Amino acid sequence: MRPLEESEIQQVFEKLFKFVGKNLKNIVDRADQPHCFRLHKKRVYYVREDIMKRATNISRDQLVSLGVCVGKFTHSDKFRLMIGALELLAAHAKHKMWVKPTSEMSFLYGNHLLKSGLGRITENTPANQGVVIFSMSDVPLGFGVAAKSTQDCRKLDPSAIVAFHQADVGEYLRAEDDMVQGKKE
Amino acid sequence: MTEDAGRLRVASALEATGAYDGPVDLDLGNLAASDPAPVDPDVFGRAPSDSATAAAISRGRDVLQRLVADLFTLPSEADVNGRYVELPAGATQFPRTKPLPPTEKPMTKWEKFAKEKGIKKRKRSKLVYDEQTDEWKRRHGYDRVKDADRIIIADAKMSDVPGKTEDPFTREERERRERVEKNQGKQLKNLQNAVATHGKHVLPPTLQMSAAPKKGVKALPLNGMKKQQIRDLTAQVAKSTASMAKYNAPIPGDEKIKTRGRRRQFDSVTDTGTERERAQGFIDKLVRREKDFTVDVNVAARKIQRAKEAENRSAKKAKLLEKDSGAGGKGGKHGKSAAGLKVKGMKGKKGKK
Repeated sequence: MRPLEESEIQQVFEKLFKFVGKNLKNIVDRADQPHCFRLHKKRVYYVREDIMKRATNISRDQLVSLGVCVGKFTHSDKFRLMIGALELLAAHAKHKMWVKPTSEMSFLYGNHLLKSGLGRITENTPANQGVVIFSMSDVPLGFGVAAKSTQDCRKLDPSAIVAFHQADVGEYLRAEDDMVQGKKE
Repeated sequence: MTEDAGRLRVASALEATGAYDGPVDLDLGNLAASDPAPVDPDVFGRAPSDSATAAAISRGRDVLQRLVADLFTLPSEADVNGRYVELPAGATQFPRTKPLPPTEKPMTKWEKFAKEKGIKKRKRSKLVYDEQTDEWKRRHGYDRVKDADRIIIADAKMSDVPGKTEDPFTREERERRERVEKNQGKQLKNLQNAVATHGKHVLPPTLQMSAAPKKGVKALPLNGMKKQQIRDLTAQVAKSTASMAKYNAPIPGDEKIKTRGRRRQFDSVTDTGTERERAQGFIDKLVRREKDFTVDVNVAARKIQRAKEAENRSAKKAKLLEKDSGAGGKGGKHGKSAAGLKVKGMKGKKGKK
């Protein structure tokens, strides 16, 4: 476990910034409880500071996980957000999409979000913007990238993709082994 | 030399046979001759050519003729098979192919003592039965029998006084250290004695490279260096060439030298203050770069429009209210609203019927 290096901070923040924009400040500097980002076995964790300080007592190979796993650095050292970041993103998201109950399951199986399943969308969402995807009852289901801007979405035909899937809560079941580093091996 | 007209000049043997009369290194013992003069490019050519080859061959013949001529100057004996010459000892030094014959090693003090007393080395088994653990264990090395490091509890004597008697574990540690030091001293003394009686060459090659131990000199130069330090030094030396080892010819075994790179330094794990500061700085930069602070004109316009409409609405309402209050006062308003409710309620009832 160690703090992120300059280049790593850059990658992580740029990715988060796509979803939360200026609100990133509130993530880093939380009013209620101080939190920090820590890297452990190529995974980035968002941890409460007191927990992090306690975790320093545990040796690196014994430490499995701490806090919330926000994402991981791939083998080629690119940063990828994982489903653990959902809660953080949902709380601070700038742009949201709501899924109709009929296509909730489709999204939760890892498919892209189609126009036919789009219930609501934050106005003025530009294309290629990170969006958090909610059910109609405001339960966060996952996140992705907007394929089209809000204006364009109105004119789309029902089978067109409006958001590219990145992560969804179904992964907790589908990719259970990937949740903790090294469990598969 | 001037020539007399009346005398017939007889050519010497060397001249007659065309032998080379320049300076030549001759080693009659090995039947070898070599011309140490630098190669003359005017004679032997600057590039390979037929004339150069011919010149080299003819020079070779001349030098060989010189060698043969010198051989004939040696005292010889006649024999049935021809003339015999005893060659002198060779002058050229050749590297030896076979290893040196074993030399007598200087004895250590213990070896001398053992020889005097007739003590012979006897073979001891590698494994020893350990009664405590009921296992066969090695006599020496890792996981050995009676390993002092593995004793967890030591018996105390009745006479031991807590605080005054030395802790048995520290005593063991101290005694071991002293034993090792004592033995190292003995080894050094043996080496010094060996150098005094036999000379430097009896030392192991690694010690010969450094200064030979002398009496009064406490430690050998390399002794102070740790294994890793010597390794690092080797690696450093291996790449200390003009090209910084970029164009070095591969040396067998060199690939095994592990160079230690610079270790990565990370920030303190628990110092969150500076970390947060740095993160804030980075976010500010990000916000500026992505222009997240700019106003979306459409959204702003819509908001202003909405605010204006709301204002108009409330102004209208206020105007109406004023009108109302001017006509019937406060009570009138209450009455009106009550009446409105009534009507609604009645409507509902109607619907049910």
